[in-house]
Amino acid sequence: MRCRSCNIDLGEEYVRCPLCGEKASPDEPVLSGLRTAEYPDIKYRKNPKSAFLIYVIIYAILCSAAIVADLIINRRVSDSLWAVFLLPCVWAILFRPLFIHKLYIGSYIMQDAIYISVFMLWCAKSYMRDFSYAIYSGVPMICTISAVLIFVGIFLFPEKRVTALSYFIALFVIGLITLIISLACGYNCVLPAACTVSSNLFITVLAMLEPNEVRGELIARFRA
Amino acid sequence: MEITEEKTSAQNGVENDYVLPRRFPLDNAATIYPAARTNTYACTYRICFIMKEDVDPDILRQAAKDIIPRFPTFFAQLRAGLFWYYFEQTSDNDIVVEEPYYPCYRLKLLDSDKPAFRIIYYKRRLGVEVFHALGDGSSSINMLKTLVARYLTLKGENIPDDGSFPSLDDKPTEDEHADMFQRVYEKRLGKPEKETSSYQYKAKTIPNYFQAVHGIVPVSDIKAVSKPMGITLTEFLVANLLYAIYLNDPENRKEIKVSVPINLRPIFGVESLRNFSLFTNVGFVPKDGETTFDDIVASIKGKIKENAQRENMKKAVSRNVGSARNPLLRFTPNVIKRPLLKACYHLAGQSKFMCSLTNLGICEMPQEMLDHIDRMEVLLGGAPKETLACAVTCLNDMLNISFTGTTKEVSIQKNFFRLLSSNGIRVRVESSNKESWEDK
Ligand SMILES: [Zn+2]
Repeated sequence: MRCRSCNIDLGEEYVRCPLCGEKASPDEPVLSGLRTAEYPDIKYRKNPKSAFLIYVIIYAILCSAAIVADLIINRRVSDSLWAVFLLPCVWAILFRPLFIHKLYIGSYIMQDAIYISVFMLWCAKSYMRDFSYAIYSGVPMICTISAVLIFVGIFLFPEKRVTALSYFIALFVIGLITLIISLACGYNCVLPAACTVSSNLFITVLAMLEPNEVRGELIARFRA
Repeated sequence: MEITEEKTSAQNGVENDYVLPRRFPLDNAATIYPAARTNTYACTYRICFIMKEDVDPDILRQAAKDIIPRFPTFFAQLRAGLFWYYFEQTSDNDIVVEEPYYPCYRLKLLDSDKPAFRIIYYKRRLGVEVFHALGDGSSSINMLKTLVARYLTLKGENIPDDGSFPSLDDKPTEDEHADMFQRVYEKRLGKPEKETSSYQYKAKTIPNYFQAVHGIVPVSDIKAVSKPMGITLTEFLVANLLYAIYLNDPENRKEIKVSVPINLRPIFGVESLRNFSLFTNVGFVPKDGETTFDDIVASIKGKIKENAQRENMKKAVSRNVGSARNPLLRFTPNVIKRPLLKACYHLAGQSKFMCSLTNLGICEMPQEMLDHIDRMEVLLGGAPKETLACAVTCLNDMLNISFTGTTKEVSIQKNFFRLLSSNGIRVRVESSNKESWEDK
């Protein structure tokens, strides 16, 4: 086949010229012996739309319903505001794992720890006037629990062991910050200290289990 | 970003053998690619051979397994560090797939245990699609040649080792896997000249769409035209492309520039299996009244060679490495650095050219391999906002000129190939878009 307008050869399969759209002429190609290298049919893929917006809309509807019901029944909104914050936590802890595929359990625990910590900070600010309660008890407690869970995880999933290192470091930093604030403000330091010490201990254990891997991971992650 | 001394215990050999660290930093040219990638686009290019027979996927899988130890930097996935991205060698190296969706389909990065490249096959086509940070075209061609040689050997062919590609009998060397930009770097070299921005081609792009238009042209036909003009084959193709762009929008008076990658390996006399190339932009300013092909030839003649001189390239490398060594940039966390680099890339890099034209040159291999290969194609994923890119390769005295882009528009390609055929050059055109196979 040939396109007479473009003066070019086309493969046997062509009905039209891919450049100008003219009908292909059944002339003998000038370059002989070439075969078309076929492509598969192009499967056009739209960008996978994030379900995030749908979740946000459902969440907004549920929140509005709770606030309206609260207003009508109790003539105040404080209880429903609880629901507004509780819903994402329930979703994060109970339902999110159902949608997560092939994600390392540690990152799931870590993300939940962050959700819950933010929730606790909000509760403390709203109901106890300041963040202190969350800083010296809630946040370090949840971080300690997470560190323990991830530590158990490194024995259950030894192939993903080194991934836990960055989580322990993050938990150690959070623990250290809460410890410094607690010391400075004269709060109870037991839980912040527990968080700092436990995550530090787990880093040490991990470094003993996989010395080369931990060293390599540290160098690679923090190389400037 | 120095190479670490961390060694894996898994790879043990003779004491003097080079062992690539399990985690290793990106080379200097690669640092831009993780930043420039977008949701639909991952800085990927494809290099493939069209075999004479349909590809056997089982043998290909075995061949892919066999080459892993020889190309450790390729079998690696991108990871995010606090300050820079880095590569980690992967555990799941089952990457042979039947051609998915469309060419250069987005590779999974970061959250994956598979390498940042894939081996594709479809009927007679056998190739690799590579995330550009892993290596440039020259290094990927070397890997592909070794893969195909192994594939043919497993099929019972006798492929001699003539030194035209890395042999599986040899061990990986430090020089092959080192960041060569760091070795070339020299402090306090003069800065390269500032560049003007280029005319940009505006065409409707379709996200997740990718079209390739191939032109198959005998080298002798082009040389017969370019030689009397006193220009090289690459210069002829660049001039032809610039003219095709000009004809598409003759009203434009802004400088039209094409980016031409320069392989630094022959310039600095090194072998590298990672990125070791740089770009230079050449172009012309359309004048009032008609600009002719000869005008364009006059304005670009000798320019590529001049820009590619060792001293100029050294300056450009030293500027790039120097800015990456700037403490302010080094200690900026990755989350901030990424959008910064992305913005810099669009402003300082991408706006300086309209389209890139890569000439990977003649692909050499033993005759025993050539007997099984029809031709070779290179498809550039292009830069994120680049609507058109062009790559040229040469095998068996046939040039394969492949235009790729995320638009259905083919007017520049049409001009380009019509210009060639009007010069008496024989051209055969094929497209990945099969719409022209059926009656409307
Ligand atoms: Zn035509």
